[in-house]
Amino acid sequence: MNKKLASWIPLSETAYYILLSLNIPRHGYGIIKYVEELTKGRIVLGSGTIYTTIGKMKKANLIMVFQDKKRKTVYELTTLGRELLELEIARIKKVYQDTLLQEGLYNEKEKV
Amino acid sequence: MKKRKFRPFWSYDVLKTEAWLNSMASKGWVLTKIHFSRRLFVFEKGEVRNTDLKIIYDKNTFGAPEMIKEDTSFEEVLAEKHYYVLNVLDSTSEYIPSHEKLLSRNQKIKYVVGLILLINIMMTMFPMLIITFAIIFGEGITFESTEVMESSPYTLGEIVVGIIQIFLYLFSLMIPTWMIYTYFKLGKSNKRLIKECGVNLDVKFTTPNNKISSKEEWKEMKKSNKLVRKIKIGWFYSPDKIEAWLEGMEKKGFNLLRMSKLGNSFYFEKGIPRNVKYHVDYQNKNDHDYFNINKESGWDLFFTSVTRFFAFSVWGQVYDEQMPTFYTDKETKIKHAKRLAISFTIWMIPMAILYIGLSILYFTSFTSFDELDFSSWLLFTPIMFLIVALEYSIFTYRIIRYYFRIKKSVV
Repeated sequence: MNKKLASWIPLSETAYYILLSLNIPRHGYGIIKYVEELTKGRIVLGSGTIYTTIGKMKKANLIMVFQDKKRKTVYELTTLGRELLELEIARIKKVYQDTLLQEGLYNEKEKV
Repeated sequence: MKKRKFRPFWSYDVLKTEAWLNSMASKGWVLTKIHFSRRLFVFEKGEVRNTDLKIIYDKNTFGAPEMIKEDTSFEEVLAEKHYYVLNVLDSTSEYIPSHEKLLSRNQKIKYVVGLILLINIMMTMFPMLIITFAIIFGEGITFESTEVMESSPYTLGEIVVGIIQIFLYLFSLMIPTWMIYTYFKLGKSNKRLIKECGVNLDVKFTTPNNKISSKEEWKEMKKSNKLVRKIKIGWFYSPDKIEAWLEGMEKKGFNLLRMSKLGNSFYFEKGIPRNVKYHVDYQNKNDHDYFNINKESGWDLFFTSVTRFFAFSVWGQVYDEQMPTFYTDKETKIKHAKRLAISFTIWMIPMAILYIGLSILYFTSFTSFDELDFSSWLLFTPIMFLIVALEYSIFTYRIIRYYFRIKKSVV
């Protein structure tokens, strides 16, 4: 695995949702709104948190910066960012599977 | 046919350079290579074209990212280490790469050069001041030379050394000239680049334009007894306390209108009690989405100082039930407080130590306490030094306390 990426794993929930929301290029505020929608209001990211995390990701070359027609900043994943997201999705899927399995065992124990 | 053009300061005004490249292309000069290390632009005679070239700086990639290469609205003209040149074929394209990274780099250069210049000016000013004082108040200085100049002709070796010295002297003059040029040139072009990057700062010195009323209006407001002015000094050493104070004022019906230029006084208008969340943020805004994200999230800007060193912004947001939060996760909240604390203590602790040391030096320079007359004006300097040292220590203490308060509130 890429050494640069190793330090990011596991991603914080904020960082994970930022990457996850960038399936298309989005504005900073667009990310906040999309994450709120995606999680049905469970996660409403603060603007300071978004700005700081994105800044860190830009430095690590996970995200790159564009401008839209109104010259507003737009963020998009880089190849490295996409690689990290794929690794994290695979990891979280395993976590989810393990959780379901173990949760089942707990429930069986209760029945007995 | 080939043409080589040397443009040593091309990056100081990238927009001008791009315009120049476009005008070259419209005369049939096709850009074939840029030797960035030698600041050399190579052209070849070819077909006349109307281009919209963009020089993009990106330390992370070699050449344009895949997404740009695949996009038919762009054409990659050339790629070098840290830089690539794009021709924008379709100006209606949804997204274009931004100059933000180059701007950020230029701002860093300007900051460092400015700092070195400042230190140099200070270092030359002090001896000059001392000499001036010595001339005015001293008994006069006379220069006497006992050496007799030899009038013998110079040897070849001496002439060579002399020429080398002249060159060294000229060279030493070049560096400050370059620095001054860099500082002012970058200052000018960065402003244009900031606009190009889509930043409408909308700030006059530290006050956002929407908080400034016309002079007559302001005068009238000051006359009416609706306006309340509160002065706070050194509040930025404990930002959380000022936030709480502002929120309390709002609850009492004092609505914050604006702050003074240096940020030490707050103007309130007597109005209705409101729920307002305030946040004092410390952020190096070398990238400009900062204002956009916060404003779109509903935050209203009251104060911002756009320097790297004193980078405070005061934000406020009116709310009904759900209190808005600036930092929603622990990590960024603690990190913010930590950065604020570190960037002040890093120079305040050495300053405090320096002044304590200086005052000790002064005290010990009195040979014995018997001779010491406590009404003596000699005591004035070391006591002043002690007071300054104490002040720095208090500020340091307050800012460290702030960090631990935030840390405690989060965990």
